[in-house]
Amino acid sequence: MSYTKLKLDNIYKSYGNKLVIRGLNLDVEDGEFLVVLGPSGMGKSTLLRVIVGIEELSGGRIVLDGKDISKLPPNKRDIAMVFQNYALYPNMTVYQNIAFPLKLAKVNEAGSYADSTKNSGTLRKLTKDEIHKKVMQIAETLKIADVLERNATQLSGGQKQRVALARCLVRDPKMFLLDEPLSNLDARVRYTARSELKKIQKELGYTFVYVTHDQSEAASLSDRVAVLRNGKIEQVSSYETIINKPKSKWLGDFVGDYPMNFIDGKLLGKEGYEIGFRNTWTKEASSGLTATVDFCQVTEDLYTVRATLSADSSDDGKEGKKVDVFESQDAPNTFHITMRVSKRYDVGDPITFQLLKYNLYKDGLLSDVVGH
Amino acid sequence: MASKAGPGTYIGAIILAIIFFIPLWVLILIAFEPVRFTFGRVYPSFLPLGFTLKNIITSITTPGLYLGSSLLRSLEVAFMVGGIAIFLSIFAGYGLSKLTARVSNKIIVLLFLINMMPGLIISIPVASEFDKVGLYNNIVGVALAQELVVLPLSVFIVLGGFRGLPKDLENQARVDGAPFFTSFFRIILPLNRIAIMVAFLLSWMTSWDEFTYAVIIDPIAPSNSTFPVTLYNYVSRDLALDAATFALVATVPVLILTGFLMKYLKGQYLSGGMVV
Repeated sequence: MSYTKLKLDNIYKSYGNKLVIRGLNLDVEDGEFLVVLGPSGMGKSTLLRVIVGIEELSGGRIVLDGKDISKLPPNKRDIAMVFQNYALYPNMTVYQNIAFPLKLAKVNEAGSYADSTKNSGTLRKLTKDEIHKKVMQIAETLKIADVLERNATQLSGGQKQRVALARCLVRDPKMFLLDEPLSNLDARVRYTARSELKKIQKELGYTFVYVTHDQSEAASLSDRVAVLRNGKIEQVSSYETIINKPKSKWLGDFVGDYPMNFIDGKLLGKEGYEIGFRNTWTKEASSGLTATVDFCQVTEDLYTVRATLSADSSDDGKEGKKVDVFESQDAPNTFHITMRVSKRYDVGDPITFQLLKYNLYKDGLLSDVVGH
Repeated sequence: MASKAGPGTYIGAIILAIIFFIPLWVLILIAFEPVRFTFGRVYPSFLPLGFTLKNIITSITTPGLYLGSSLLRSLEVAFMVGGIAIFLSIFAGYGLSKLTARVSNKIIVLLFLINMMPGLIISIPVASEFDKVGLYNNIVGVALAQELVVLPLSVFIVLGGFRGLPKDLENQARVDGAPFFTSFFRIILPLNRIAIMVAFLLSWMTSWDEFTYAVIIDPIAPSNSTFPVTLYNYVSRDLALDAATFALVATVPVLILTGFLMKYLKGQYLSGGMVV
């Protein structure tokens, strides 16, 4: 049975006058891989730092396993974290790095981890042998057994990432926070690391909160995605839901390979709405919307076309359009459509297409979906 | 990358080396040459004309000359100054590193302001106050007074080291379960050891050489003062030969320490950017 592992209850964080997190609510289920996605500068890292306790909360509560941990120092919270730059102790070997949290850990007589938030009988430290066993075990799992004696500074990026992960996993905390742990790796290593991370998380049943700005990571790793915008959660759900039914225009624009296209609802007889559709939700048709091709990219028999609505099909487009920083940089009424086409299109050709499905937005928020 | 050293670099280095080496060379000549080649001449030669250990032996064995005791006293003071300096600098530096640079830089400037006043002006009130609390004519008193000279630089160097440490290392230690003091002593301090070592050595050498506070707070009794004061005493009593010998002996620890320091005295440690 999954239950709520971590509950962020209306939390605030400000630096001086600057509010970074403003009234954020989020529930993390036990054993889930939650990806926090957001553009940079939206408070992603701050969120993790607040959860782990190295930044003090300005307001609200953090509840872990039913206990309020908002006021506890980081070493008492029993949450592990991998920092973006891995923060390996440069004065220690890999072995010492991984053993460091173990040397500090307190266990009960049976040798299992004690709950640091309450006093539970007599506690002792792990013995040297126990530490050694655990370090070797995690080193085997993460395939870093051959570099244990090396200094932490002498490792490649991929090895550093594994060591940081090993140090994080070795002590069996209540949950894990990862701050863009793969962003410093080159593409090849990143793909392998991604799948390994997911495998470890599922096999051991750990709860992960993983921060990234990389949508492909969110897509491949997450059980659920929480999109952060201006210090608040814009939407929490599976990645597919966010792609197909983004709750707001901003989300539609931010998530996905191509920004969601928005056109005036009048074109389909939906007065007062904006129609949002993805480039792949279209098919070539003899009647429907007509646009002018600006640019055409061919991948096998799929054509990705950037098109502009023809002047006659729309008399609107500029009036009352809310300007948002994260909105598509394209000109109004320009959008991307990807579809199978019967003939080759050239720049300037008219293209007629129908929407297989679309979403209706009113005042920037999702109000209805059609065809899903 | 450093550019390749051309012949000009070497010529410059040799000229500089000669300039720095001449005083030491003169000291060596006076100490190891028979007096008739040095003080006995109007124009002593720069080349060694003879060799003797008599000067050294006389200086050490003559009753009433206090080479050993003043060296010992200087060593005590120097180690005390170095020790107190790094002890205070570690805590001051760590604390300052937690403030914004705007605030901590102002505090550092305030610290250096004391050094802009001539030492003589400050040393007299210091001496009279120390007399009241029994620190006058006392090595602890000298050491504490010399902290006025060494502490600003020492704090500055250690602060630079702390500032250069990635903040996330400390955060990581806390997250790994370390209480504050564990993370401080196991992670932060060891990583900043080079800055601390540099601060210690510079304080040590400053104290070894320090004269103003030593002469005013420690009495001029030759049996009971630090080395620079004793040396001054001999020179003023026209015992230049003994003074030269003493000076040569005093150079030895400095040379040894400089050897240590050379390893770390790269600009980056003084400017605060530490390589970890």
